[in-house]
Amino acid sequence: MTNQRRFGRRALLQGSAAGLALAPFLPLLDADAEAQGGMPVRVCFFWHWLGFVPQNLQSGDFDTNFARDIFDPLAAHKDDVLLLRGLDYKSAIGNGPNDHPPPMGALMTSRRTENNGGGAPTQGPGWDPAPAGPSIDQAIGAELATQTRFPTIQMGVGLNNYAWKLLFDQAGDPVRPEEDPQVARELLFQDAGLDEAQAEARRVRRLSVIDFVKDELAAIEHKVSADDKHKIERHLDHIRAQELLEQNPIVSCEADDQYADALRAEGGSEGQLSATGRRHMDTIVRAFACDLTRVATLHWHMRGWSADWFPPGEDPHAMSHVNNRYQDWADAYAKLGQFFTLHFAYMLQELAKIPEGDGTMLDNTVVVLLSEHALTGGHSRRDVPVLLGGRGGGSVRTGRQMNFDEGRMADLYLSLAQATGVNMTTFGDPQFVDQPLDLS
Amino acid sequence: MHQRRTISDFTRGTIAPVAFALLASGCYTGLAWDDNSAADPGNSGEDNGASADGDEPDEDTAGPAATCADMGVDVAFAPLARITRLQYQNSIRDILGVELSLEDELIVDDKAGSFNSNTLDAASATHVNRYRSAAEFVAAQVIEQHPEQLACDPPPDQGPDQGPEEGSEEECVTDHARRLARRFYGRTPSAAQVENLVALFATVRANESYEVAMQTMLEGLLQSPHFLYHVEEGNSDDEVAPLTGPELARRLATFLWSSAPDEILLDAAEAGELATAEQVAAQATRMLGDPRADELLAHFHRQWLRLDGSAFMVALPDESERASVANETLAFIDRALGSGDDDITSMLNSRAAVLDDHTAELYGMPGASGDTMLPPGERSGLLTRAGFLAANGSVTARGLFVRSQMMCQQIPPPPEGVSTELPDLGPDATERELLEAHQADPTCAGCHNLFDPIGLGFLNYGHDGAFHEQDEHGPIDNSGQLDEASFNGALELSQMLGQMEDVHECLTEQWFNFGLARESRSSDQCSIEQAAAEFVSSGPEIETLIVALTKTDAFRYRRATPQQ
Repeated sequence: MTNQRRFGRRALLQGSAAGLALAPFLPLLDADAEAQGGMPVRVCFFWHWLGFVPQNLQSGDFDTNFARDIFDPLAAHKDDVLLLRGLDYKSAIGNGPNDHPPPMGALMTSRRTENNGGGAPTQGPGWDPAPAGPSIDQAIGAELATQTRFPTIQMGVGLNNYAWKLLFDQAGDPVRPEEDPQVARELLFQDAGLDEAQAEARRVRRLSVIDFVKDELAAIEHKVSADDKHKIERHLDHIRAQELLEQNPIVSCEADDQYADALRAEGGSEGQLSATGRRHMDTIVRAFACDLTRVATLHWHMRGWSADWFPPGEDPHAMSHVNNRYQDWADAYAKLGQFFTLHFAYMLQELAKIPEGDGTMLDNTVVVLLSEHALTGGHSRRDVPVLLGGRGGGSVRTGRQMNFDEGRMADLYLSLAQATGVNMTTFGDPQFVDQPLDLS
Repeated sequence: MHQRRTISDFTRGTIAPVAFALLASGCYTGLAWDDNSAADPGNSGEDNGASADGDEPDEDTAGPAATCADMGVDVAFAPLARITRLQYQNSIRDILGVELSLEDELIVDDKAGSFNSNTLDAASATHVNRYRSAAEFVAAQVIEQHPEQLACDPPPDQGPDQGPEEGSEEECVTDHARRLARRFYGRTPSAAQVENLVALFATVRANESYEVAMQTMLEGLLQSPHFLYHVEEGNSDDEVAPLTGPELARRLATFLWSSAPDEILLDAAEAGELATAEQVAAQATRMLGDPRADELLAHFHRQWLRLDGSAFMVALPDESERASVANETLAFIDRALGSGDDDITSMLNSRAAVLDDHTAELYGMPGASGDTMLPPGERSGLLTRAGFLAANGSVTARGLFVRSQMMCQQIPPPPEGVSTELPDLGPDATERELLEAHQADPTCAGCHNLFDPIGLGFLNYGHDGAFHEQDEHGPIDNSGQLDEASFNGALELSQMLGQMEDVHECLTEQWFNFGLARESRSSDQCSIEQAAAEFVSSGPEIETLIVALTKTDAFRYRRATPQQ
């Protein structure tokens, strides 16, 4: 595990925009845990669009809630999860119209969003979210940039074109998750399929191309308007990040080619999304095990959803607004919810397979099941249920439920940062944050 | 209740378009806003409009003749655009002669309005990584499939250390670099640019074969910002300046071909033969006759009608059904708009159709195939074809399409905190009754009154586009209302729309947004009005509109900085 850290620690920091932007605030790492030989703590945001079916989660009591259908797939993990109720996305309340794009940028940044114009409207004028700061995953990743090869990784499943802008980097630009499992894996593990000579030859060629592209970008930087310079600078940042990775090849960690059998292989897009999601989770677990990164996001959407059991031609989104009107819709919607808890359970199961210290990697990880809204007709951002899987190195006491009264989601974000050893005391817009939640 | 207006009121243009601002913010009423809502509802409305850069639409200025002639050249700022997937793929096809499907290689495009455009955000690391993997994929394919076009004669078996004398490998490579860069960058490259490419080749050639070095040079070309970005400097330092010839050439190729300029266009551009509106129009006319323009109508309509959207996928989960329905709609468009004069009437009212088994069945004409005429009464133009109907499956979506996409009146998304649940009127309630009850709620009615009454005219068509004379409640009531005019069914609505000046002007604006890959601003208004005038006086005919747009100031000039 320590092997990877040799590579390009400083180089990565120099090259990554995140590291540069954050340099003045760097001091926040809690070096103690590591100095004492503790395991690194990772956080994975398992983020989905669906919302929770309210009639499935009305009790203030863990056992009652956990007996609901939606948690059936998690039966074996009851002792590994902490259910949080009563947290609000404060920044998304009063943020503007209730289409999906406007609040998206507010949810994980804990800031209000401005309309950047354009966008891909479902109807009418576009609304493209532009928050004034990073999302929590990127903020934590920036603090850990010197510790791992990748400050963060982010993958997507079935992303919807008009509402994928959830994550934002230190410069406020949207971070596009990688949807292709193969591409994501190759970027992380540098294509274990090549032999040494081939890999070296490719590295030389790629570095030559990178030099060329860098020169060309530098040459046009002064030709574009001041307003557009930022685009060229960011492109250059990403090219430099490619360069650093090529210059510092990975040596001791390989991707695992063994993917688990399909969880479900039913028809329609369900089977496809499931397979994609599982491959991403396998990659994330592997990256955590190798300490290539400590912060990951898996962003689930449901583009073109269909499944054998799902009413054909019905739209999960339309359903989400009126799911309680018809019993068959309510049933179908609850089953959609199970799709996500099932895959969340898969992630916990895979983490629990990897021994670490006296326990497993699940003890040193927090997987955060988070959704865009609490499922009510108007997609409320109040009382959005959150499920934490894993014990976060002891910072999360599981097997129970915690209830908050108009709690702040950003306070949870602080707790997650602290679990990874980042002593973050504020995040996002100060009006939406108070102090870390004590989850232990 | 209303004084009934007739269709002819619209055709005479006596009903003024509803002011943009009224629609954008004024349809929110009676809302109890959240205590945190410092961002007030009106604000969200204004921010939603085409005025995102603070450039307010000026609907209430006097008519075009009075202002535009006096104003001189004006154009809104066009943000730096990154290439779209289609432009990338078509450029590869047109320059290297390799047909590759790159849908899965590159990240899906952003949108400006309804149309694909990458002008909003900086590229993310994922975009840049995909530019590399796509370039590596394409270069490998080109070397595998068509190595001859990148070969050198005499063959490169003389080794890499030949001097630059005539007939040498270096000279040959330099020629390739210059030729390819000219096409990919859309202008003759500078000596330094060519040198950089040759240097890239040479670095790799020191240890690798000629083919691998050439492949690497191609990878560099495809990742060059001169290819990936449409950099426009204009030909002077003025705030508003004419584009250079090559910049205009690239705009033309982007608009008409979704591709890179060809040699003819580049030659004209670099010979100063795109200096006048007439010269640009002549090139545009030539380009429209080229096979590369064959897909132009399909590209526009696929995006405008949302045949590329997820609602369409949900309405028709079966991929082959989806393709069949989309093809029928697009083949119909091709026919209706290629017919010569009065294209818009054909597009909205013609019963011509090209059917396959699936659409023949769906349209109640089993056994029909190929070119045919649909029976009168059920379906006619675009708005009654299954493509539009499935991609815009609900009463609300269809009414909103007419209002926002055909009349260009912008409507904000639902405000926060509003319940979108329809009232429970029991199992006997019709969809019409549910929606009418919805409108009884003043919170919803303000905006929904603007589009639901239009959408109710589409009640004969299911979400998959199937036609129903009646449902479980009996014969379907398809009466609808567009502002103060009543109509029965989508066929009557289509007739009305086809004759409305608002619709002609709105189509002009949609084609403007598509052609310039950005949403129009008030500074573009004179250009739009000029193109709309030519469009209407031509029939209205779509090809005239397309060429007219290339002649406008907005197409031929650039503004250096965004207006505040």
